[in-house]
Amino acid sequence: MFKKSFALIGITIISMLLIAGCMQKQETETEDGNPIITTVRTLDDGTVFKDGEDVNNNVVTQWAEDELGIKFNTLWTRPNDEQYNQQLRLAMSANEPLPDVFQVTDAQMISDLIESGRVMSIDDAIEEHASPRLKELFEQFPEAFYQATVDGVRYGIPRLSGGNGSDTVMYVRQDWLDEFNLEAPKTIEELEEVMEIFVHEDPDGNGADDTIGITLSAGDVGFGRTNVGDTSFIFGSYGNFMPGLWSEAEDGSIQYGSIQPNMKDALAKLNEWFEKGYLSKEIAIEPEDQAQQSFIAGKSGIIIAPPWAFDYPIGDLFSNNPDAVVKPYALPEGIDGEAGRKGERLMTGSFLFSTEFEHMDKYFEYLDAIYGYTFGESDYFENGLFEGYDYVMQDGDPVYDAAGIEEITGEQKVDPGRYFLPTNVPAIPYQMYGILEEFHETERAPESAYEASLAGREPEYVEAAALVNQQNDIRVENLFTGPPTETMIKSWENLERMELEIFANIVYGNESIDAFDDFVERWKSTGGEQVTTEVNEWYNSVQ
Amino acid sequence: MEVKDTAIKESHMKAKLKLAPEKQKNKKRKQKWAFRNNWPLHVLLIPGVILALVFQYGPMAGIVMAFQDFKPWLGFFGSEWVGFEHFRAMFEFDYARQVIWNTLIISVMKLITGIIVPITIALLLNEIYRMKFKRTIQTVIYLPYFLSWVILGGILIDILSPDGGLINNVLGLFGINPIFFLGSNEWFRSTIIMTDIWKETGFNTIVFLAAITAVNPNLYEAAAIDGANRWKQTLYVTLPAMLPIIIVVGTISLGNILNAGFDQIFNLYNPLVYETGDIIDTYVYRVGLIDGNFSYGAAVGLFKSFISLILIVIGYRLAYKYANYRIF
Amino acid sequence: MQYKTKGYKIFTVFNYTFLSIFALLCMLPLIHIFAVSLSGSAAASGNLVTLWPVDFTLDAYEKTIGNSNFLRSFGLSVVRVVLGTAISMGVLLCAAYALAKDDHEFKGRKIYMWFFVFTMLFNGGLVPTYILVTNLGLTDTIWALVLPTAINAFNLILLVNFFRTSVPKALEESAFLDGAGHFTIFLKIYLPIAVPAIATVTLFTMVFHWNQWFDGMIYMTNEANYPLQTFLQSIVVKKDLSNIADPETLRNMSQRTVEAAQIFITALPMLIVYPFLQKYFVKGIVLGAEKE
Repeated sequence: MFKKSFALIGITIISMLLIAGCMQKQETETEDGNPIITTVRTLDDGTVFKDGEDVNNNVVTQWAEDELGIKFNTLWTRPNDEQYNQQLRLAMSANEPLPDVFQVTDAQMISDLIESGRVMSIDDAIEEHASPRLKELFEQFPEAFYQATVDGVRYGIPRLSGGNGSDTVMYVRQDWLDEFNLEAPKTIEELEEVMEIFVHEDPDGNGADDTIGITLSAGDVGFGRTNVGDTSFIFGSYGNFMPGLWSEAEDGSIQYGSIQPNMKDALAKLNEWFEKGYLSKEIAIEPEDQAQQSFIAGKSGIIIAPPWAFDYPIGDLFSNNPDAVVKPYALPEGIDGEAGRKGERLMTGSFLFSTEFEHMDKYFEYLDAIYGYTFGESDYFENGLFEGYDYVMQDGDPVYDAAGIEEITGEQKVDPGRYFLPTNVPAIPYQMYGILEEFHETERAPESAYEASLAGREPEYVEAAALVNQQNDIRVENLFTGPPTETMIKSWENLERMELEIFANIVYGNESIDAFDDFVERWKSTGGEQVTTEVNEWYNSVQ
Repeated sequence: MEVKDTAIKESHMKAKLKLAPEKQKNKKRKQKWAFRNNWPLHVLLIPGVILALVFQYGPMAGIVMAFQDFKPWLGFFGSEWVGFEHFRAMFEFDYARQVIWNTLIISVMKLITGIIVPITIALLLNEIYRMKFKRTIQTVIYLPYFLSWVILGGILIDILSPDGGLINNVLGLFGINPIFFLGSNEWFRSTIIMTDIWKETGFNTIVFLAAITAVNPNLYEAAAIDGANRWKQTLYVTLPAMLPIIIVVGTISLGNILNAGFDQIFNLYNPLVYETGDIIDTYVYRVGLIDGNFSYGAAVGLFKSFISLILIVIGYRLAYKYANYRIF
Repeated sequence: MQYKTKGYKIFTVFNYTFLSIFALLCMLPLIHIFAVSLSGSAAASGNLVTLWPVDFTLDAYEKTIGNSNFLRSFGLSVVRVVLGTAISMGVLLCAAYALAKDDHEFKGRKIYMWFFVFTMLFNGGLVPTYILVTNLGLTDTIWALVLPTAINAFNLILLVNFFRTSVPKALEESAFLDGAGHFTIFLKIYLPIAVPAIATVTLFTMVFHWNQWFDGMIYMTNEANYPLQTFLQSIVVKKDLSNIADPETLRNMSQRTVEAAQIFITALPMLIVYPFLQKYFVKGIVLGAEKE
């Protein structure tokens, strides 16, 4: 009977493999000879489709097919970056064919893919196929290419970010300020005076001692690494380095922020605030989406957050407390006007291209077409992206705001920009807040559909965006975008853990502030120095 | 197992617990069994063997990854061999001792409480004679099992907050100063163990309840006639009857001793408590985040498997030696 | 079997109180989640909801039930549980019967047993399993979810031990002497007697299949094939808000109430199944056929 069972196993395996054999087939052209571009992407539940539409069949894919003759085929989607990267790694391990075009955010994976020889160099393709305005854009932000550059050869098209889109401002409860006749704080000292009152004078008037001064968050990822509840301005008030970021030192080299002297002053300050009850007791424990609850619940007077936070989470405060008034202000400065904030990176990953992909011309045609909307000069998007989605026409004029659209069509406003390959309306660094600053400061009228759609935003949001853009000179950006270096792979877990531990423990008062010096020594001697050398080598190699 | 009351002992022996099947060997029977062909037994095992061969043993070839510098595009055949490099890296690291120690403390505590508490609850439930009440309680305590740690993480941070959290408010009524459950090294491990008990007990109770139902009611009657009260009956009838399953669950949990509960700790720990709360799995996760290489994780996994194998074999031997019971 | 001693009465009072308190503690988080699911979204995101809904609304449930993906995933999960449990229990019960024999009755039993125990300890890990499943062409089929997990050594060991402790050897032998074969003994004696054990392991298997999300995430390329927990996971995973410029999108992403509603709805079926299976192991089966 053993023979029998082995025969059975054999038959099962063979038949399964046969089924498998029939499945692998990939078309490169449609029946009418249009190229098919395969891709994979992240798709979160913030991307809403109308009934009957999905990632492979929607107004954008239809448009690309009709107008540009490109058929997109999304092979799979994953809900966030972590799972997307994992799936990509698995697909690579199983030797599955790469999609034609796909975005990768993980620097190690970009480096692996380049090393594997399965993605192609794009230097020639840019030269040959990119439109002049795209070329100009690329030349404007050469650093954005560093992530996918090896030996001077570029392998990836950066997915450009808004540049300063997630840089932060200070949102303050104006009604609380007014209640105590206070001015909005401009310096760290003034901020402390305001917080002292917010904590002890019962600003929410419920008779209980239950308010904190400022909503900050360092949970989950550590100090200086969050958007909502960003702590970076405190570090910026004492010097030019930010925790967790590699930035340029005076000698032109790049150095790791978390070991610089200004950390020590800022941590001492944070510890003082913690002891005085200005901060949440869970500052190092709660992730940002939980930390923000204090502000939404009306238990905190100040929140440091990007301009977009005015819609969410701050918008929820108004639902809970209709009398609340929140106004944006510039980040407070330290002594002698010293100021700094964490700056968003120029790009959120790079598009890579399979060596088997043959339609780079089509890719650039597509990229130029969708960028046309952002540039404000488009053959396709005169009034907006797609009528009935992000705008509707009423009496010959486009309507952009969500409430208006819902009133006219009875349907929810849907953002088709999310269906684009970059998973969003393509961005040009610093452009959006630049436009919003102009709207705020001058009477300039919108000149394109893109600008018109921005013009309808809430005034506080526009003001916050203007403030961010005006303070662009204080932003500190992470200059290291390459793959983890050799020593990083060996020691970074240890170095980063040491850092997270010492920062949290100093703020909580478990360690004296002098322990910081000891940490810096240990950091340098257990691999940090070597990592710094390697990071600088990388930096010099890509420039 | 010291059983003083001989009457109970006898009735216990009569129970078909088969604590020592070997001792009941009977040559006559053996011949009869051998006489009949055992082929149906092999046939019954075929589906299981095939599935295990294909889906469990098939992928085991991938264990070689632990000895390679695995690069996805080079595959298992093309990747460079590095021998025991990953294992060396795992042990040479100062922090490894700390992480292994934390893992052991947390998982041993979980193992012990994870058996004692569900058994206790099962025995207590067994003393409830109002069926409705019993079933309601049983269903309710089984609820938390279905909430993921991601969700519970957020809720627990609120409940355990030193600043107005529910638990500290209740403790405050008794004049106890607020305790920083998730942020202090003194409390973190206990908090992990308590919340684990809270979440898993209801579910783990099920297997022991099932074991209790296997007890022959005649045994209780015999014991009652001999004058044993409810406590003695539990001690000398119910528990011994549950013993085989307790040993099985205990031994298998031994094999899990290097898994202290990734999801739970990952969602509750923070830099303030790395010292006491960081475990092997969370550590490997952070290392993996940096370079995304599968090899190091595979090496750690293999190490854990070996330890599990050793512990299970020891558990199996001990169970045989002291309780005279073979679990496999 | 009532015991009227004073000590036992005191114990009973204590027992009821203790179990009630413990049960209450277990209820609280679920009540909280339920309350959140019935609250306004702003109140929920400000963490203003404790055990009673604030700004009561059924929006979250309307959205959840109205999401076509949700219902499809729900259906898929039901199919997965039924199919997965059926396959798994079929295979496990057959194997457990054979392995419940004594070593001297069944030569080779030990080898088989360790063969299965070994699978509990060693596994190839994610990558090779993924490669195998994709090469077998199981991707995007239900088989990728039910076949690789069909053999669970822990459940097998439990069944084997339950069989050995609950089936009277005398009964089996007398049936055997009466001329019954293995299949008859398996079906007529083992299965009916071991009902509590089977109910227990069935419940474990069902819960496992119901809760499992990770395999759905890696083997299903098409979102339409996500089982419920995978679908749910894709909603509650951490999202990167910084890439989003559009306020509507932000709002869509941050609906704690919808999350809560979905958690509640996914927990519900297992709560319904449990009391149904419960009766099989609360009472136990009276072994009428048993002879001393």
